[in-house]
Amino acid sequence: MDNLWGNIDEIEAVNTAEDIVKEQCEFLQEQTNGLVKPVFVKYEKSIGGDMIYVPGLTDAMAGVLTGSKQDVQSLLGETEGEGKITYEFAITTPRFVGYRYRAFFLQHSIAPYPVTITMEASIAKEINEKTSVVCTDSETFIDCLAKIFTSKRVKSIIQNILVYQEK
Amino acid sequence: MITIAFWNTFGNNNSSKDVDSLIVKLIKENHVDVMVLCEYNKDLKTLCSKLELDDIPFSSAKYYEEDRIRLLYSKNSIETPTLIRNQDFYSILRFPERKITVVGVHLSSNMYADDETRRCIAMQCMNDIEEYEQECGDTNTIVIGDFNSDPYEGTMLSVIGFHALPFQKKTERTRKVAHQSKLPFYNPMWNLFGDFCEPVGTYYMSTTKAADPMWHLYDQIIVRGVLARNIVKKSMKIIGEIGSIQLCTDYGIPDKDIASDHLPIVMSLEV
Repeated sequence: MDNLWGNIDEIEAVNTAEDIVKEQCEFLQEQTNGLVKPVFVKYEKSIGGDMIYVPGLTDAMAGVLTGSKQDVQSLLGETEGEGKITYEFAITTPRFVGYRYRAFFLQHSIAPYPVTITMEASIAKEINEKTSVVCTDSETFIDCLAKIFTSKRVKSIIQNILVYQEK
Repeated sequence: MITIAFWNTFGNNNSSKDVDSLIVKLIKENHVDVMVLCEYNKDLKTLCSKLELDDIPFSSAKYYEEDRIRLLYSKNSIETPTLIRNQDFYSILRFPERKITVVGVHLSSNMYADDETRRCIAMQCMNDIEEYEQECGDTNTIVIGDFNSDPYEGTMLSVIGFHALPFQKKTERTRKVAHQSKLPFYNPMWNLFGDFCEPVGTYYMSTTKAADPMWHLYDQIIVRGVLARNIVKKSMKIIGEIGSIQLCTDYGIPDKDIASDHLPIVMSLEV
């Protein structure tokens, strides 16, 4: 029998969001001599369904809204995120065991892009973004990530960790 | 014994209001060990100095400028807490010697969010609480703050919210819902709701909605079942007056010109 699959050409390697964040984690750890330990791990629990930004909301503290009504089963069951994989990015430090500041969640489905970043409302407000941002490719993702990492809120968390280390 | 209090002080840019001296008196009158504040935008160091002057040395737990929750603790009666989480809508702190975890909460108001929105944050907060309870090996957790939700709303009651039930007996074991076992909280605040005792709630807002309770109990303390046994029932109260200062208007509703549109709450636990 002939091979029915035809030619499966190797697709061009994609710079995935996971790879980008993991690389940035290494940079930060190096830059701070291991005093700040960013973590980027799979988040197995529910973050409350698909989260969207409230249009026109100036007080970003109001944060996030669920897009549609969901029942207990859909929130607790296996339908969470409609097959999406969720990661959390958080800042920790070996100095304060147990401390963790989560800056954002990252979600995508089977394809590497688009990815959805759901960030803390204070960061979103500061960088003038919605709390939930969809990035269609690696370029837009990198742009958004840079804004988050250089935000006052994230910097203040990192700087405070470093100050305490020096004491 | 540990006494914990909470107050949403409604910002306090109005210099004519002396919220600091009310907080000092509140702490003194109620022998507060842990004071949780939100919408407090004055300098905590100044507040601590005022407490020190009154022979009640207090210190503030580590916090960041953007944090919505502030926690003060008595230097005489309780150890320095460790900051575990400081997310936008909640902070988790641990008193390592007492082995008690205090979670300060300030969820979005109805102006910006609905119950479903708040439940999403509650869910993330609960995930963090459960994760930390596993890390520290106990469930000695108290959640206190302005939930902007009444005890009967999904955010407070639902298994995908804070899962805070109105009777203690059912809160020491997990409840199985939708194939998952979840440990509830006990919400003793139900006992303070309604006009059998004054004040009726902690926040008053009258609207033209068809169903409107007008009085709300947005400011609450919920505790895990293991700690709930230790609640000193008579210590639980909504505070309507501090010293000789009435916090409510002549109509009996919180007077934000005096202090805040929310009333403080207090509770003691035998631990």
